[in-house]
Amino acid sequence: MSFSPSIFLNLLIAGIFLGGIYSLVSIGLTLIFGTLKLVNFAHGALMMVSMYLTFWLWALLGIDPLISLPISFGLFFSIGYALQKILIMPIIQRPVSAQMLMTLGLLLVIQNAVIMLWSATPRQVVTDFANLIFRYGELYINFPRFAAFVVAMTLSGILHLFLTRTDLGTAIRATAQDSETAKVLGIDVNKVYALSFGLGTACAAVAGNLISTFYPIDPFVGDTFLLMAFIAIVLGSMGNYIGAFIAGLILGVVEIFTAFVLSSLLRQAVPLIIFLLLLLLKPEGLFGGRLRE
Amino acid sequence: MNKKTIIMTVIASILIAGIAATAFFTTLLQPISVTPTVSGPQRVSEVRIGVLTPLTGPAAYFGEGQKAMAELMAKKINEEGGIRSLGGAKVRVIVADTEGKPEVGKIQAERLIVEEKVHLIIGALHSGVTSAASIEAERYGIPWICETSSHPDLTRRGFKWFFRIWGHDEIFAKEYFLLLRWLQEKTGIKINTIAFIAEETLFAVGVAHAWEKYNLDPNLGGYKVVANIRHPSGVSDLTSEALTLKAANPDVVFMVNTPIPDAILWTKTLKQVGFFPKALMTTGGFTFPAYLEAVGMDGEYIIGRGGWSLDLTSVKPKAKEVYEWYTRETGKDMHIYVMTMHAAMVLVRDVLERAGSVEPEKIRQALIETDLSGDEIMNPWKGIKFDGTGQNIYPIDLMVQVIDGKFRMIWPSGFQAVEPIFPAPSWEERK
Repeated sequence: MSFSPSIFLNLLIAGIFLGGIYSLVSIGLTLIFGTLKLVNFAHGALMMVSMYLTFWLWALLGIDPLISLPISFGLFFSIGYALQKILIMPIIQRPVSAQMLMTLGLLLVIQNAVIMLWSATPRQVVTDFANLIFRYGELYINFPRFAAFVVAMTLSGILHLFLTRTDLGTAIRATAQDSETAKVLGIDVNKVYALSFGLGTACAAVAGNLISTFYPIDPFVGDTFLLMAFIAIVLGSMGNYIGAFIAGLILGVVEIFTAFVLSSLLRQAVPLIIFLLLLLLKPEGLFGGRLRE
Repeated sequence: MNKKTIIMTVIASILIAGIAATAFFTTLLQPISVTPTVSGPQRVSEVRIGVLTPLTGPAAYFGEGQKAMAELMAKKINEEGGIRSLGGAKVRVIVADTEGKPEVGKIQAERLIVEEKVHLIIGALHSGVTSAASIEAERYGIPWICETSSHPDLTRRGFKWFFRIWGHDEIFAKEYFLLLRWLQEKTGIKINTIAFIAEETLFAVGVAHAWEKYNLDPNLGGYKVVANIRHPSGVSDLTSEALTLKAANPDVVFMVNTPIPDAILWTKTLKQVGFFPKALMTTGGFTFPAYLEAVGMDGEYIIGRGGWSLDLTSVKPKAKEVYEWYTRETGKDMHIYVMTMHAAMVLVRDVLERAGSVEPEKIRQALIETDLSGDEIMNPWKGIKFDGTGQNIYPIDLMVQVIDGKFRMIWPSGFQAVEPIFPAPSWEERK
């Protein structure tokens, strides 16, 4: 396939924008894993519910997705916080299998509840800006994707500042490193767990909110993004949120270029091959360590 | 092993299992040897009809409609006195979820036969699922009515218990080229280049192959193929594919993909890269009300093999009657899969009345002797009658174009409601 500079740039932009979404989903997932040592299979489903929330706020009350963003964040932070307290807490000391059953079960319950409530009909948020496309010659920038990217970057930045500059953030990182010691030092580990789960869920919710203007909403939409998020968090070293962030961007660009240069059929295969190679050669991931110290 | 290693191993296994499942599904169309078993005659108070359809997964929207129609028809039959030749036996529909996955469909088919002891199966929407699951019916000797799966090979396997009321893709694919020729003759605009786009499923690839085959015939096609794109279903982005298409700049695009979300994403991405061909000829997710609702006016001018159009109600009284009844009772969208489920249930009733028994062999015999009038069903067919392979000889499909936010019938001539718009205006011209 031949490249013109404009095609190259368009692909690069599409890749980075897509990667931004992967990053946001991955950060949430890795934050939860880093602190709770729990793989949250329901992460994508929670993101999907957030897309529906965005849709209904828009369809019923006319609230623009960009305005409902803080609502999504706040509401899903609370949902995550509550989920941790009610469902995750009792099994947090249990074997990995029990934890997986819990989050997989949660995934099934959420998906089926959504089907029962709102049916499997695909939906789409159509706002004024949803169709806004900026053109610079042969270069086109889709405004919703651009907005999603900017918000994803901003939120990641804020999260980074929160984790490194505040007492609570430090407590989260301390718990991630060594929960026993953190407990001895007087950190309320259970609260930190709930906080991390809440924050992680809120990240997924924001991602869901952002993509609802350019990606169709159905009860299974989370699966597409969760697969990439899993690859991203391993690539970025599990628990390392900066690693997950960078890995998400890399995956987005790799996927877009694979689809154009090689074949669209390999778009998911190439990231999976990278993933398997990484497991073989550098199982600790590209960036090492858990939450950055 | 520490916890992290275990977790990563589990994730890796899940991903590998996914790949393995895909590989499994591509090897399913192999003929198999079968050993039918015939169960003895039973006294019947109810007839159990197994319905296999996706209730979860990307195609759940289709399955929901099918389930609603099957249950509604069963209710109607029972209210009207059940199956008379069986002493008023009630019809019970047992719906099983295939998730749109061949391996799940296969397990569900076996469960329906062994545990639910169904007398007949209707299913299973996806060609890939039907292909795998109908093997179970063949093995146990249970009649299978295939309502919508359109892969040509399904009725070429030499199966004894398999009957398809719907057409197959080689029948339908030809319509596209006939329509395209007609459009050119009408307008004097010449088409030189085309592109094929297909999602990588058994159905979509089957359609694409049929298109490719007809295009080789210089009397029918003979157009230059400038792009031939395959992509997985349920992708997160289609920019690369749309840019490939734009760079190739075909006059006409033939596109097939099943899930509605993919159809929505294609539409939005084509708009984003600023490309629209003279005719975008589709099948799959594009021809459903939910698609139009999601894309709004961006769906204008798309041509599709529709199956359903409100225009049909003004041509065919039965279509009007069933449409009004179904939407009133369920509040759900009418679409092609609902129509074919209706036809399948009408056939089931007819077959059971004629068989006067739930013995598989008797039902099969009744299926073979079927000669159902087209007046009984919504579809624009002359009726239902099977050839020696179990293929209905009458099905045709409608071609529709989205005009002013509605699917309007443009082909074939007996069903033309409006003049088609060809060539379609570009995105810039639409503002």
